[in-house]
Amino acid sequence: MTTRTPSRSRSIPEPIMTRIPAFCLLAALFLILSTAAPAAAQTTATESDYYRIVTLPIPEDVILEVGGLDVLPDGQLAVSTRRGDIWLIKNPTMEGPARPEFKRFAHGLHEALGVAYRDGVIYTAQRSELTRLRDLDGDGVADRYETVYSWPLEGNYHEYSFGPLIKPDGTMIVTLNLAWVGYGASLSKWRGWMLEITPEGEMTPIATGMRSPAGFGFNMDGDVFYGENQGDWIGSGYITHVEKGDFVGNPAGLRWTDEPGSPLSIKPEDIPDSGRPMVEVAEEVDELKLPAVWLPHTLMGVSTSDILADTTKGLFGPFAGQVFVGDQGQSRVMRVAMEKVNGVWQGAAFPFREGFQSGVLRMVWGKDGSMFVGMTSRGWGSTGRDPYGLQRLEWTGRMPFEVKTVEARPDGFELTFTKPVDRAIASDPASYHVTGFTYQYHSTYGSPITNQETAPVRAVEVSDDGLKARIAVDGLRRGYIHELKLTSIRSDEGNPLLHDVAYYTLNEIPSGANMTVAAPAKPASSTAEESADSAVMRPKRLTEMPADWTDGPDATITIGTQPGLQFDLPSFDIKAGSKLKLVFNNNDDMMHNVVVVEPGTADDVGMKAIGLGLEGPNRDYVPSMEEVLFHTALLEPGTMEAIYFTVPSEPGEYPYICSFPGHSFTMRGIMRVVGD
Amino acid sequence: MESVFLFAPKRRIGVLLIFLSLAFMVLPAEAQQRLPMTQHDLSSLDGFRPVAGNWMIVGNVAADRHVDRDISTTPGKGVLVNIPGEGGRDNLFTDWEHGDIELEFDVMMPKGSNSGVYLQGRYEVQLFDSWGVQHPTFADAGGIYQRWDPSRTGADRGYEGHAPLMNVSRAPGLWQHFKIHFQAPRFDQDGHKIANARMVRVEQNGVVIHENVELTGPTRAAAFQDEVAMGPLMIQGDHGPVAIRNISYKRYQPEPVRLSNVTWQSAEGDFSAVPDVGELDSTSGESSGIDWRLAGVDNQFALRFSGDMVIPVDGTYQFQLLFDWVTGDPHYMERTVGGGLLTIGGQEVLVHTGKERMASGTVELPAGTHPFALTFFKNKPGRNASATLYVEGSGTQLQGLNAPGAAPQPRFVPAIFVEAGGKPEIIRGFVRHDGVKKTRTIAVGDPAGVHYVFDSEQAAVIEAWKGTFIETTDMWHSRGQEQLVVPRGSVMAFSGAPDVAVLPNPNAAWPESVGANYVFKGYELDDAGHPAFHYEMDGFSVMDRLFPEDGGRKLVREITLTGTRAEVARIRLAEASSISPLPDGSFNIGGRTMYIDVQETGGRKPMVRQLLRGSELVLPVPLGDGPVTVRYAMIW
Repeated sequence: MTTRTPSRSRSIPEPIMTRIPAFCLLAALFLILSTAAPAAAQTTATESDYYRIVTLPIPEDVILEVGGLDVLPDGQLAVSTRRGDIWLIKNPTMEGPARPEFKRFAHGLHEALGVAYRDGVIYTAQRSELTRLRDLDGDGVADRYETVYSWPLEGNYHEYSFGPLIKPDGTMIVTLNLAWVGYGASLSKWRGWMLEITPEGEMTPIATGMRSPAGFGFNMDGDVFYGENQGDWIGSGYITHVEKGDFVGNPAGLRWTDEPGSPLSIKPEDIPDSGRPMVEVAEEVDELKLPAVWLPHTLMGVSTSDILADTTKGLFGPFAGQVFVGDQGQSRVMRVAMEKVNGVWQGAAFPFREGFQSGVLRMVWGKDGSMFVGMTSRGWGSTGRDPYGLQRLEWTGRMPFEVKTVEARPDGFELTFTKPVDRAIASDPASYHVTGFTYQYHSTYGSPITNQETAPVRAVEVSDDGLKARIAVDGLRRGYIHELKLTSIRSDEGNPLLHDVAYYTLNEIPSGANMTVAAPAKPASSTAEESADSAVMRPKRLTEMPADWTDGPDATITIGTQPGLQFDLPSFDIKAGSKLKLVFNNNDDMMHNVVVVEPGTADDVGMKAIGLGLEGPNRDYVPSMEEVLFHTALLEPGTMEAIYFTVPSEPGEYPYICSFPGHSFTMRGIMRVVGD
Repeated sequence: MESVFLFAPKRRIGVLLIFLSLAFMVLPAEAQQRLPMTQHDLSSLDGFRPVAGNWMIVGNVAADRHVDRDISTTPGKGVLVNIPGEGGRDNLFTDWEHGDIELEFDVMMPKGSNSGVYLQGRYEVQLFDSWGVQHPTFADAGGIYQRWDPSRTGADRGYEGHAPLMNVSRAPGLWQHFKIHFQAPRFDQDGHKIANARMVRVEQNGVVIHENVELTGPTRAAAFQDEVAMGPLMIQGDHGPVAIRNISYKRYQPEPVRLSNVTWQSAEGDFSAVPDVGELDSTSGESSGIDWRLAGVDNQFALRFSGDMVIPVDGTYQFQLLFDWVTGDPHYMERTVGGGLLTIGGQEVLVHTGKERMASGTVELPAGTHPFALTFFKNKPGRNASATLYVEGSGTQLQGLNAPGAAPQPRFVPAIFVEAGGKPEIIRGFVRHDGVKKTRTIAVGDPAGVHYVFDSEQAAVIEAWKGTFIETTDMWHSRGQEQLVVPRGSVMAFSGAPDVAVLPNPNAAWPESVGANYVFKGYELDDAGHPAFHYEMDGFSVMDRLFPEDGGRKLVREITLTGTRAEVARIRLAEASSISPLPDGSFNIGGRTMYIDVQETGGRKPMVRQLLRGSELVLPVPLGDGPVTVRYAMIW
């Protein structure tokens, strides 16, 4: 098992370390290094105490870049791959214990990014078609590759096709990714759309506005949700309830609304490129469907992938009926608890489990109620550094202390916990910090966090059993994300929450009775502080050449990017004390920055950047640390920035990283400062 | 990679441009515009040393692919033929000698025959009927024959033979193409060898079969055992019959073009045109050649190099200036990203506008020293500021004039190949065909070494080749920008139009694309793993399968048509510059580029339809009376 250092892991506080003798330190180190460490679990619970990752051994010569996963009725795991194979894996749960057996069921498929079994037949989406595979002679290998339905394809690398998701009536759902030509573009018909296709090959366009709809699934009610990735018109990742006729965000696919069968008629130019919040634009554009649940960028994930409802009826733990959402770039699985308010789906997203070996693209339930997680990171790096992988997540049977659900109330929220809370702490409004924010809706790639305001918590009511807390909150905003930060909440056993944050997307505010609120609202102050802070001059990022550089810079270095989260310049030499113009040309299709740091501090700065939380986007993901020497802004794809600085006088190897959360593991280089 | 087009490509220029730009990334020197080659006159034997009667000039040749060493001739000019026997068994020598040379020719091998081309009469590239050989050796076509030391014993006597990288030989009686770039050994003033001869590159039928092979001495059966600076080209005549045509070459003297007394000046600035010398005074110095690194920055600079250019011999000289940062990417098309100007003796020789990667200019120059000046600028963000000046003379090899270390560095990523081992492999990827990216193609590789691409969008076999199947690097490395798969082998490219159609009348033009009622239904694999494609056309269904026969020598296509309406479907078996029947009942396609042998006609006879340009071979298939199966072999 490969475990990345989780951002929430605790290290021994420094004062304690200085007080303990050396042999104790060694013993402590041993404890930390040993994987069992049951003693440590008593005080600092970690995700692995409740959900264990088991790695499936993939044969050396099998390149299992997972594109799709499904479980057959006999428990075999079907895995489709980006290299076009479908593998059937017998005994994937390794009972016995015995090794899983891999058999190639199909080959020669065109980047098969989905696989689904139904009634003895396996379906898969290739780049250009939906395909039905049949094993006619019963040797466990497909003989017939039937084209159910073909769609046009321009030939852009970014034109991925995903699916199918099979509805109870047998109709299949596929989604078609936009091309990337410096922006998301629908170069051929139905790119950016969700389509339904019958087994007989009748196609119905359902909805558009998709940019990168890599994952989609049903919730417990059988409604279809799809996951979106940050990009142009998409300020942050989210999941959206998709119904026929919806327009869900990126206008590129609207160019096909004149085509027969289109359930929409609006055109791309009907969507204002204003940068106003999506909720405001949706007031004017009826077809625009708001996300059911935003997954704030880098706070929850960076690249939304699969959606899987917990149908295990408790086999997987306390979250039956909720929805799990994968994230490719951060190698994690998130949790979403939704409710329907005024007929609209909305709800809260929570961290759930990180530390997977590669980029999480697919999840599916095993027959035992454990979750198979299929991964790939080729071309898009992930915090889990393996190029691909297949793991299984199983509940250990222990009950984590978590916020189980957050539900909207007319005047606030009601939180449900998995275990009784410490009533004294939970009854104090100061134990809850609520902050509202949203993103800009525009053609620009991504968005900063915008309109951020603290929503003061005015009152709390804790239920008699200690499992519920209702809070009254001032300044709820419809259509906004509300961060609930619960750092000081403790269980009645005195333990902190395993994850102390939730992000609730408030599309609708329910009607009903308000709580009784005694205390007057305190004035919101944090917003003022933040804006003051962001106005501070940043000498670490000078974008104008200093006036006293009368002879110009001594050297100019240009750094670009390469696909797969890499800089194109692995290192450069520069004289100590010289005047450097550093140009960062972000020619990638994601956002990046360049941060020059003190020798040996790249990992630390990278982790601190992840820990910036809500502040991250406003700070270009650059933490305030002495170790950070110089940095560019966070640059959109296709933009560049020059910064000017005097190279340190101390020779040494100064790393430069992209501090965008998750990127710094691979996206780094060395500025080698040399003496005269 | 070159393709042999069996049809008239619609966008020939586009194809060439794309091949050029692809090749530039790895082989800038090899893919540029080139000065024309010299044709060796084959209207008589005058261009050769006197030779016995086994060598003749004829108008055409034919060789029955079934009959050992068969060759027949028709009178005329243009084809050199050797028929060893009573007339003699002489080897043939050109009346000219060569050192470094680039040589091209077409060759036809009769069945079972054996010959060879000896550079300088000493270093042999083997010519042999190696049709269908799976594991070629040095003794197969394209092999560099082994050397021979009679003082050793047994198998040790032969040594240093070089097998071709893959066997791309055609069937007996078909024309094949060779391209040989040879570098002669070098000697010091005392006549001591200081560098071995070398096959810089050998291509057979468009495929590289040798690259940078060093030759330590003459190969077996060389006409001479010594090594020299100049020697005649020899074609072996004593082993078997052979025909050769279209001999062309460029011979090079060994002296390169040199730059001396080079000084440079540079300036930084937002240039949009080539600056005058007066604008370039901020830094300066001396240089050993053109060196973009002297700018000190990688963008918004101009550089000027001037000095003496030493031209070794009188001749035509073509200069080419390559800006590696110019991509042709439309995002950068609206502004000027670079420019350049080369003058020699004060005369403008080359202007680079920055629109394309490369600009060229040609000038006649006498031997001697000429003043030159090259000025260029870059105005596009990005670290790649590589600018390279190339020169080629009518008697002087293509070379770079850059300073050491300033030539563009090839950047390779780890290659990903797919080979068909025990069973056929199928790869779906994008295929570049006639300048167009085909996105719904299915490539099928067979362990027998014959492979093809089926385009499911147009129900057409668009290309076929023999070799080691396919490269998928561009699809499977990282994000795979172009997503192309590339055949590994000598590609026969077909028209890309549907191969089955119903015509409104028997003389109607063949359709360019399938009709609205075409539906591709998928494919089914047989026990051997060969796919049978299924599709529906207007009122009938088609099962279309291909499989190798005769150990991969033939690619057989079997098409079964099932229709309920009484009408005539047609299968276009070939489209080519010319099509003619052969005595054995098969067809000669494209002037002996390929044979087509119709094994099962389905009742009617194939017809040759003459077009404005070229011919078509069309087989009518009557429908309405149960399934009709047609089978034909593509043989090459």
